[in-house]
Amino acid sequence: MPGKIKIGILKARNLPVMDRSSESSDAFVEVRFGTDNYYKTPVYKKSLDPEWNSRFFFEVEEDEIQEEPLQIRVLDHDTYSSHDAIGKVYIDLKPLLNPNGPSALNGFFPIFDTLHGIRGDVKVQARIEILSDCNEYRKSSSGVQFFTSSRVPEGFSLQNFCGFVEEMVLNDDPEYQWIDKIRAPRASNEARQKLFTKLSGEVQRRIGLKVLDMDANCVLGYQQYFDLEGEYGIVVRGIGTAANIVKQAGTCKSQIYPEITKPCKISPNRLSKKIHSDTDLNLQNLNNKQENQNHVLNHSISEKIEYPFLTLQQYPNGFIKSLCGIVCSRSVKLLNSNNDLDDLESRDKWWIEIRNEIRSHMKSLDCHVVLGYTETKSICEDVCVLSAFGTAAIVNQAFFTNVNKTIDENSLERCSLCHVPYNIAELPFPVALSPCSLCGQSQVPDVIFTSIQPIPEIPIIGKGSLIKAIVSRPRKKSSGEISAKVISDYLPFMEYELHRQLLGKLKIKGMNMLYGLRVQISIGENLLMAIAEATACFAAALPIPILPKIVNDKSSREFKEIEILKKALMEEMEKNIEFYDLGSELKPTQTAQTDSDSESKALLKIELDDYREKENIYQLMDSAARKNLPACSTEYMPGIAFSSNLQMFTSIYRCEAKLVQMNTKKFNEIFDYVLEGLSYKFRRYKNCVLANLSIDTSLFDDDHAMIILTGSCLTFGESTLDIKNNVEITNLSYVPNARIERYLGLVNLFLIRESTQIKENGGLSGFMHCFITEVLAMVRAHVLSLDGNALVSFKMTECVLLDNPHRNQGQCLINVTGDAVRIVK
Amino acid sequence: MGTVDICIGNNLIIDLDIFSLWVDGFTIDQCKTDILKKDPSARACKESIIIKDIIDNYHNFNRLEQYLQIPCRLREQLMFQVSEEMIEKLVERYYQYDPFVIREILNHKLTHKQRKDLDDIAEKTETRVRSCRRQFDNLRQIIRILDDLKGPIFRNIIENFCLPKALADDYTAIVFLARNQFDMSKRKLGYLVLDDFIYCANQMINNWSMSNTFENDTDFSRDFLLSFKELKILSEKEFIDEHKRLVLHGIAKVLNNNLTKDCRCLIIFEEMFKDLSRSLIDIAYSLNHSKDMKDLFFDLVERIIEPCKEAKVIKNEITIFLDEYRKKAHFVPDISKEYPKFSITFDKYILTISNCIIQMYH
Repeated sequence: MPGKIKIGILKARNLPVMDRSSESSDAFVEVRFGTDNYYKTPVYKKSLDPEWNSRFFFEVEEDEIQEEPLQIRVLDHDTYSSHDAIGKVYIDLKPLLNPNGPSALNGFFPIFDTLHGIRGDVKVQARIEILSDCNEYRKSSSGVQFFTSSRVPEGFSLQNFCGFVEEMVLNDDPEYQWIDKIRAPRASNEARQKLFTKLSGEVQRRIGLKVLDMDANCVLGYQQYFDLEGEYGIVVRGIGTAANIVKQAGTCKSQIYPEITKPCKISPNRLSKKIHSDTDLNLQNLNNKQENQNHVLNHSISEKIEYPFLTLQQYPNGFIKSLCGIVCSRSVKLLNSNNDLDDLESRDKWWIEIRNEIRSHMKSLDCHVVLGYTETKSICEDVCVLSAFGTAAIVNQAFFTNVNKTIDENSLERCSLCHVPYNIAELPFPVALSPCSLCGQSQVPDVIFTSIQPIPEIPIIGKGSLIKAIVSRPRKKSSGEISAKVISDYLPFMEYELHRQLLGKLKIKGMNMLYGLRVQISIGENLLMAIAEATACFAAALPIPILPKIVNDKSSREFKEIEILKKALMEEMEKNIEFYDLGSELKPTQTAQTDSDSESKALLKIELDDYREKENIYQLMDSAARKNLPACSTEYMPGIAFSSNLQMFTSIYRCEAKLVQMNTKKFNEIFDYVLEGLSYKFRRYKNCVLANLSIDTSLFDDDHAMIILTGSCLTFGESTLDIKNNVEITNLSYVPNARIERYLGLVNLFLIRESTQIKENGGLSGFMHCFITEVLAMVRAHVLSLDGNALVSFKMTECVLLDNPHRNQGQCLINVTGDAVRIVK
Repeated sequence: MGTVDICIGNNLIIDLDIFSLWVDGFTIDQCKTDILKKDPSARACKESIIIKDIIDNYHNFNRLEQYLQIPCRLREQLMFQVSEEMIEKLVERYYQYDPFVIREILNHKLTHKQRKDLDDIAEKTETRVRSCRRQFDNLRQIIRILDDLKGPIFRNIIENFCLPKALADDYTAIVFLARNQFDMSKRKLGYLVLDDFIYCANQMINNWSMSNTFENDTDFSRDFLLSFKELKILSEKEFIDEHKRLVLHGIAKVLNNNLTKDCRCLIIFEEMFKDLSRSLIDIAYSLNHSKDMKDLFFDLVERIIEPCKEAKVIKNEITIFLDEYRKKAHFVPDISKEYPKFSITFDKYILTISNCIIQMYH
């Protein structure tokens, strides 16, 4: 349906001096939308603060608004030669399409130039008038709201989950087109910015159509990825969870309980009907044996929904019944493999393979769904590793239907989430079971790993702590199939080593549960690296952890040494128990006296064969963590209630891999160094926690390793600090001590910055510092223009830094996303 | 260690200690040494971490500097999210000046050439060259912006540079001195500090300039200065003797008790009266010629202060003298017949100039 965009280009301020002689500029603005719409303001002579007050409108198609950004270009008029560009602004108009969203967009936007950065601000207004489209074959999918927050948005209640949605588009990367050889990098980068912005719009529009087909009204936990495959092109992928949500009438701050009493929209969806009947069955069988129930349910949900994967990390109360464990699947692919299929189809097929594998893992665990699901890809030249990752779980099926959700009160016993949902005789894999420490009736495993946020129902003792595991392995330089083979050979070992480190560290910490586990694999030309981070805590229901046992098959020659090690481990655990407040009754136990079957299975053994192993044990101890600020990888810290958001930070560390002989130990040192740096930075503030730390590593072709650490510094307890911000940006999905009043739409910026004067501007550090500052400034401007005052779930999904020290050049590409919101304190 | 090692936050959290050091032109290494000296909590940390933190701060400052140079833009810029209180602190600190440095800078014209030669000043005042350059640039920037503006300097400084009142007051005086190019470099003026000049400048701004009109108030009102010419009649023969008599009589009255010290004082002033009076009137007369006006301070020192000091007149005595000198002038018979506005003009002149003399008399 045609619509009208009303645009106002009002004025600009602080423009750069473009004409040296008069020390001013003759600025005018070009506005473009799509291919056909173009408008030019008059030239405002000799001013750095011009005022145009131009108002005009474009007639456009609705689907265009979903894909195309509004392009604003500020130029300096030149009578004799071509006009000089001052900079550009891309504005996404999608938030205006949302019926619940803001009605107009109005504000100053920083004028950004890829070469010069921010140069002044331009004031823009925009408003959309549109007729809604009822056509069945429509191309537009406006009205579907996208949330990057991986939870049910605050102030909304969930009606039902509809399933997993994904979409992917492939395009040539302008940087690798032949024309790039003759045009300036600046033009090329501008082309990229435009294209990538457009592609991500297209992905969203297509996902929106799928969502409408599923009779859902929004996408929750939307994740967007840019796969830069170099000369093979660029893939923009989006995954998310389709769901139906309704705005809650009252504005209560509490968690969203599924207490829907009014009849919901009746949808003629086959899916919901069938599940409906199953749910009835479910309710009847409530007291029957659990596995029976599981079986029935399993059957129903996985048949109806192709991929029962949910990308959310926080779920409504009563949704999760049982947590079973991490499922993960990886696959190494060659980008140039000449299939008969076209490029997009082959990539589609890769992901389908992976998803199928995840689904079969899930089924073998007798689970219904995968929670906290992510799909990542890491690329090095023509080899890429695709990974899918999530937590298999058994859930309340009622959440997939529109009927009233009855939360089974019995199943909501405080410890039931930790119970093993299997019959002891039918365990899908060997698990060390012991009776639940809380109810004493059901069986629990010795540890639980999850990729989701802490569940408030599960009782926790003491405080949580960040746990990280790093594995790095050198690899020989190779290419093509050999390289792919080498990588896939290494992967299982790396995964095993990660697991070993996580488990070892967890036990030495005196804890038994992991939340928010993330694993990242990076491949470089000479290096393979895997990083895992998670929040560890002590779940009351699970058994007290047992210290890793040190086994030594050799003679008693090293007996003394082992005793020292044992003692060190003991002391370390004791200190941890005290530090994390895990309870005085908890004493480190070295080994169980009896080597019963179940215990020996659970026991982590460390075989001491050589000197290296000994070092590994010390590495597991991670005692530096106690010196620094408390940290966690999740949005909530078990055992600590946050009171205010002090600062979101982004730490970037990049070094030459060759120089520092990258190995696991070295990487550990770097992380400790970065964390120590943060602790130092915030040393003046009391009661701080570094929350939601997420580590991103990338290895570059020319052997650079870059580590990006984002997180939020939050305070707890009484704090006298009251930071008044115009715009709060946080990587959490909430703002501590504030209520989200309104969601205003997705902010999704794709920006490239280049410089030919790296040395003059403080080196690469200075360049990056400046760029990130600029990116944050632009994010804030977009939020403000939508009448928002905060951005939640901020994420830097892409950050690629390339440099050429000999030519004094650098280039960086960044994509950031988040939900613009209005908060009330 | 790393080729990139940075940390950026959404809010600009500034370590004010580091900011101070940066403003004073400390290098990263000097800054580290200073922090280690002052902050005991830092000593437990690795040096590399402290340095990294300093570098992060310096990156911010370097970007921030463009806005600090035009502080009113600091409030509307979108680049950094800074709180209002922080802006005030930063601006105040950035525009703080070292009186010795500014004193030296004012000795010369504020030209590009001087900017290059700031090394000498830095050496002389034991300040870092970067700090000197900043103070120089700040002053030049303020003068540049004010050149295009009308109205009182003080108000313009407050509006355009968001400076706190006390600092704006000082800058008003400094700008006044620089614009009128008063010569402060003479060797004989060496004993005077910046505060003396600021005081004198403020006296002149408040009493002699056109601050109450909408004109630019660094300029004196021409007509007003011309009127000083008329004061010449006071040194004419017919009046000067009568004036002298009145003044000496007045001084004696004020001193009252006939101590030997006071007698000495009376004798001195009796001897010097004619010279002093003539000098004062000459100085008033010379204010018309901008070239002579530049030498105002020098003239005051050479013709009034030095002779008095040589005669061992103390500050209190000169104060009394100047006061009597002013008061008694009105009573000189027939003077207002010659020049009807004499009293007003004379007061305007002598009040200001006596304040200046008293301030400079040390």
